[in-house]
This record gives sequence, C-alpha cells and structure tokens, in this order.
Amino acid sequence: MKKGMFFYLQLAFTLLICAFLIVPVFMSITAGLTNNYFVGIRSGLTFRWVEQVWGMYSNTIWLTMKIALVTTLVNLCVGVPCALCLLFGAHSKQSIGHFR
Amino acid sequence: MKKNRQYILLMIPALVVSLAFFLLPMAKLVWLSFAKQHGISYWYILTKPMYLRSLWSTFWLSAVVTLASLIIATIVGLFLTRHDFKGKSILVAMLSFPLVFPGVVIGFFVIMLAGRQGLLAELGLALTGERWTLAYSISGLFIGYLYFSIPRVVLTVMGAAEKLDNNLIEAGRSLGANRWQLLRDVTLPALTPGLISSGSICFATSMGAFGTAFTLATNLNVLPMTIYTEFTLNANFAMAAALSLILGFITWVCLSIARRQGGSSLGMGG
Repeated sequence: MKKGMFFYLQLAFTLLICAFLIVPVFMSITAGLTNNYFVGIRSGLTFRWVEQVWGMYSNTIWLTMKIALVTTLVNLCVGVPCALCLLFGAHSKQSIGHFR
Repeated sequence: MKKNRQYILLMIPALVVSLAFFLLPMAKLVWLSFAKQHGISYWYILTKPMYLRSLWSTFWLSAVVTLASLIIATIVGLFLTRHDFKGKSILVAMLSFPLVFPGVVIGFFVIMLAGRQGLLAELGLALTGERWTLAYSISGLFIGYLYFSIPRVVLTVMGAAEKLDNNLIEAGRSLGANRWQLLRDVTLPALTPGLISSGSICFATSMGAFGTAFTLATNLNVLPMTIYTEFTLNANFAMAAALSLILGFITWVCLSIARRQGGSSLGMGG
C-alpha cells in the first residue's frame, strides 16, 4: 500500500503519544542516577541515591513484597476453587458477581 | 446432582472472603452513612456547594479524560493495526509498558513532565522565560489520568480492530466511500462496543483514582480526595461513608456497562 500523507501524520501522532508515555520513565531513571538533579546529567551519574533508598527503605520494600505475596496466595486459594465451581458447577450458566 | 454439590463446596472460601471483606464492610458503610441524623449527609452532598463541586469536577474530569483517551487511542490503535512497518512492535511495547505503574508512580511522572523542575517548565523557560507548571492542579491530574488510560484503551481498540472484517472496508471502498465515510460508517460502528466498554472502565478508574491525586496535591477537590479529607482531617465518618457509597455506585454502574458490552476488563489501580 502506498504510504501517503495520512500515514506519516498518524505515525507522527503515534510517536508523540509514545513519547508522552515513555519520556517520564526515562526522566525518572536518570533522575534516580544523577548526582544532582537540579544541575542535571552534567553533574555525573551515581548509585548513591539507590544505596540510600535501600538503606532507608529496605524494610518498607520487603514489607510490600510480603503483602503482595500473601495477597497473591490468598487470591489463588480463594479464586481457583471459585472459578472451578463456576465452570463445572450446577450454576455454571448463572453469572455470579465478580469478587474484587 | 451429587457431583454438582461437591463443586458448590469449592465456593465456600470465596463466599467467606467476600462476606468478610466485601459485604460486611459495605453493610457497615451503609449503616455509617445513615447513622448520623438519618442520612443527612446525602442531603448535604446534594445541597452544599463544596461536595457538589467535588462531585461535578470529578465527573467532568473523568468524562474529558475518557473522551480524550478514546480519541487518541482510536487514532493510534487503528494506525498500529492497519500498517506494518519496521519498529512497530517496539511502539506497541512502549504503549503497553505503562500498564504496570501504580497511581503514585504516575503522579511522580506527571511531576517529572510538568512539575516545577519538569520538562515543560524547562521548555517554558527556554521559550518565554517563565516556568510552565501544570502538575499541581487539575490539569496535572488530567495528564496523569490520560497517562494510565491511554495504554488500556489502545490495547482494547487494537484487539477490536484486529477482528474487524476487512471485506466490509473493501466493499465500502469499491462503492466509492472516501476515507472519512469509511471511518464514520464502517470502522467506528464496528469498534463501538469496545470503545464503550474500555471508555466506561477508563471513566470508573478516573473517578476513583487516589494515588495520582494524592501525589500531586492534597488540596485538589476530586472525590477520592474529598473522602480522604472528610475521613482523616474532619473525622466526618458519615459524610465519608456516603461519598464512598456514591463513588462505589458510579464505578459499579460503569463496570456493569463495560461487562454488558462484553469487554474483558483490564483491572486498573489509580
């Protein structure tokens, strides 16, 4: 198919949206690794902030991980039997509200 | 019959959990919202400008976000399904990447883009000599909600567009329809169920998103923030309960619309 003006217009728009979604991600990565965010990337790269975060908040991170893990386990224990019941049970044609 | 009864037993954990963590809190919430002077909170919500404004601004913000992301996602989604070119898979990956971010992180991204030290501020400084900051206002919220809505709607549109019958488009084209007529009369009607379902999910999430609003500013008068303020600062539990029920009801209506349209709901956390 011939690629006309509309193709490039749409491509430009799509690229713009992708940039909107991706640029902040890279900005925060570089902000996390830059020596002085207010000076910019010129001030050099460092792992200092990552180390400090790990030092100060490692307990928080572990706690979050534990909660996420336990939630997943409980969800599996509850959800899998429920799904089996809905799939094979007597009321398989009925819709039962979604549990969230 | 006996076999079926065994399967019913499998429901028990789900029933217990939903009773303990959904029905009981909901009942308590309803009771709480009516406990003070027979539900005068509901009357206040309908009459006091503060609550009414919060309700309306949340509603309008969500409606505008939904509309904007539907338009953007239709353009992008149709483009990506119709054309094949080098690097397309990278673009699709980039578009679906933000699905994993929680609301708080998205709030931080908005600050990165439009905060006092953000990209937009630098741009404004270079162009006009004054920093453009949108992040800490309702437009910052708009950017943030758009950020987490676009990927979900784009993926839904792409899924719907792939199922589109190409013969219909060919037929339309051979009958002499131009690009816009094809879009209006063939493509958009075919996409409508997907657009309604993903749009209503997007609307529901924008109504209830808390993390982004909380990161950007605590004085933004959107519904989740109002509930938070009523609950923690004013200790007005009845009002917080009533507002929560209204918010819950609106999101429930949206999700049932989405469900009726047969859309698979991509769960969102704001």
